[in-house]
Amino acid sequence: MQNSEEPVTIIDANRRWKRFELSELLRYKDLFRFRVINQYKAQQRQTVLSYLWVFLDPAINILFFTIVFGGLVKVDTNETPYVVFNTASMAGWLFLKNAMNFSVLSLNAEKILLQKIYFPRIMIPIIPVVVYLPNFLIQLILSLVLIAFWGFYPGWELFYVVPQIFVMFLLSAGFGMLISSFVVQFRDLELIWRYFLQFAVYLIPVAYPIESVHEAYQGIYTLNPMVYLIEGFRVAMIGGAYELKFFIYPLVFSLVLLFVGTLIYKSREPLIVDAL
Amino acid sequence: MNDYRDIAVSIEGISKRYRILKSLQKQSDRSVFGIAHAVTLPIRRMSEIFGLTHFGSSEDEDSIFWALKNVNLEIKKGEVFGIIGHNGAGKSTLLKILSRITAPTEGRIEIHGRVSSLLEVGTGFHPELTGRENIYMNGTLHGMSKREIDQKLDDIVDFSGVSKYIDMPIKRYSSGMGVRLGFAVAAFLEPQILIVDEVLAVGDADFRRKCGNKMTEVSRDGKTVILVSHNMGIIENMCSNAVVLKSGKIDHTGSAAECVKHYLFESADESYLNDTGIQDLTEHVGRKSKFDQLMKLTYAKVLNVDKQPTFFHKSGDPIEFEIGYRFAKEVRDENCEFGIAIKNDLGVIVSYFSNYMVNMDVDTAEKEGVVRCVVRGLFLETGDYWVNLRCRCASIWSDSLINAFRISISAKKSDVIERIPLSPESGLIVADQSWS
Ligand SMILES: Nc1ncnc2c1ncn2[C@@H]1O[C@H](COP(=O)(O)OP(=O)(O)O)[C@@H](O)[C@H]1O
Ligand SMILES: [Mg+2]
Repeated sequence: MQNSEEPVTIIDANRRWKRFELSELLRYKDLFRFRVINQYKAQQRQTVLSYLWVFLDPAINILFFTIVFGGLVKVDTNETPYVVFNTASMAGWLFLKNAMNFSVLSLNAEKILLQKIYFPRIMIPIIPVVVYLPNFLIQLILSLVLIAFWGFYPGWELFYVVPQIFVMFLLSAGFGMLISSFVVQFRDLELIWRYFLQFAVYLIPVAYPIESVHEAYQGIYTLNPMVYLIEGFRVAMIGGAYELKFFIYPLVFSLVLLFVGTLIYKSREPLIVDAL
Repeated sequence: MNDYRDIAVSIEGISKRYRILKSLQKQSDRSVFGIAHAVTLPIRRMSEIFGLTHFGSSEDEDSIFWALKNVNLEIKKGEVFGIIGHNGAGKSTLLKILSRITAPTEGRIEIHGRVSSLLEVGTGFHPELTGRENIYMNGTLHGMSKREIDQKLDDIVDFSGVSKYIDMPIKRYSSGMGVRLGFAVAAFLEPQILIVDEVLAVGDADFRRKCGNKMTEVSRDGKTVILVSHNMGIIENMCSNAVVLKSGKIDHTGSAAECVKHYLFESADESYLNDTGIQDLTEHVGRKSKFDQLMKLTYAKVLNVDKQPTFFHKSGDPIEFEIGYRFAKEVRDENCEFGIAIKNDLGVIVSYFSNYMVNMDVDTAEKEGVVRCVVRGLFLETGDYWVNLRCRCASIWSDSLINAFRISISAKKSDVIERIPLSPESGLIVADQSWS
């Protein structure tokens, strides 16, 4: 027909993943965009509840933590009222949790697509992280409104939300790259992953301030990159001393994770469809 | 000699290895304990290379399976090329490698031209999205850019004939409208090589007809078509050249007529490595999802006259079907109906069996159980058949599987006659006949 250019495709078992096909990725950039937009739309249209859920999820969490740790257990959060302390980090934690979760389980979710058509597989664990961004923005604004309602207003530090979220983005994508291909192959890894997510919230300063961790364990505790990510996020929300390490350490960690994860993902790419 | 410019696809030494679970019990391979196995594999391989352990420990060898082994082929531009072979011969695997869904373990392929597959029609369609949104989704999945789709959108919408509903979620479309929309996008992809894997046997009538039209249209335009079919009539009529695959190897290649003959009279009687005779139904693509979840058919097993599980049967020999089911909750129904339909490649139900037809009640007192059906005196024509399964309990159709599995029927050794099954002249049933 009118379109006579004829692309040549080479499929070579010996050179499967050795080169990154950047030109190909560029050719599929619109796919990435539409996948993100359409998945967001589809998710919102599926249930009326899902809109409501964006609000309910942080609300229920804040309520739970405030009753249990602010009321029953009496966690000391210094001058800040517990509810404000907790609300200030909730949007950040929910983003991390959901972005990581959807990214890690993304290959399972796209099973049918993977089995039917070729497209650069590398985009799959990244798409869900982007898809969650609008929900995060809504939850961020909701948190700010709640905090303002209790008489706290963010200062210029609010700007630090941007680097913190940026690193959370990288961290989630990194986890997705590293783990998703294994979850496809070894089914009960999914179970372990769910357990991890369920308990992860107690390993970061969402329910309690970082100072209440025993001094002897501070070193080990802060090895978890999510700790500084959340700490920095809260400082951005309600003010305080923002330290560079809140950004630098998680950034380095996430970049290494993303790099290693991507290498592993690429090397396991040919296995993915066969393992589904 | 062929000029290299005449070649659309050249396949050199392609092999594909799968790791398979030795049996359903070997679930541990999929558990986390398998990770240790996967992680240490390169190390263990290394020790093999250095001779630290004896070469190829038997356990590893068992779980490796070659779906394709050293396949070499050249497909010329503009030809319709057929791929024939029994279930599990590796036909779909070869097509999946060509469309880059899965990667080969060994070998090299050179493809000249854009490839598109009829399996991809409508992929990525989401019921909640509108027709327009789905066009963009499906188009970009095929590697089109937004701009390309913008330009073609009006034509695609016109061509689909659903322009009135284009901004409506496609969950409100009839199945025919959905198919039309899918094909409208496919029509504007302008593939130079079209891959067709048994689509003429699956899907509803609308879909099959569209696929058939698309294929003829593409080949009339002088494009290359690579076609897998169990319908020897179609292969003979449409293809110029073909290949017969057998257990992942090339059994024969040459003109389509030669290949069909070879397939029917030389390779039909063989049994195949992975012929388990058992089909797992717990998660099956052919399940009609509209049915309630009261009960599910869990597996199907086909046995021959010697009680051996196999999908390969001789025409006229007794065939035993064993179907497992499981209820979601305790339900006592004294007259469940189980139905088994045998369907040929033209989509015609050739025969249907049901316990109602023999006034036999199946009492489902237990949550889990098995029903058996022995069929005698069924003289099917040589060929491969799809089997549909369904079950009705508490007066509703609880589960229904379209194309649950395939069985292969071959002629009895005694009546090797030169004839082409499913050609317009021959029938669907062979009678036990004597002439004088
Ligand atoms: N993902 C997979 N993992 C393990 N084995 C597979 C996988 N896909 C296909 N196979 C096996 O490879 C063989 C060839 O399958 P296939 O190419 O689908 O055959 P055909 O299309 O000729 O019926 C079959 O024995 C099948 O069980
Ligand atoms: Mg097949």
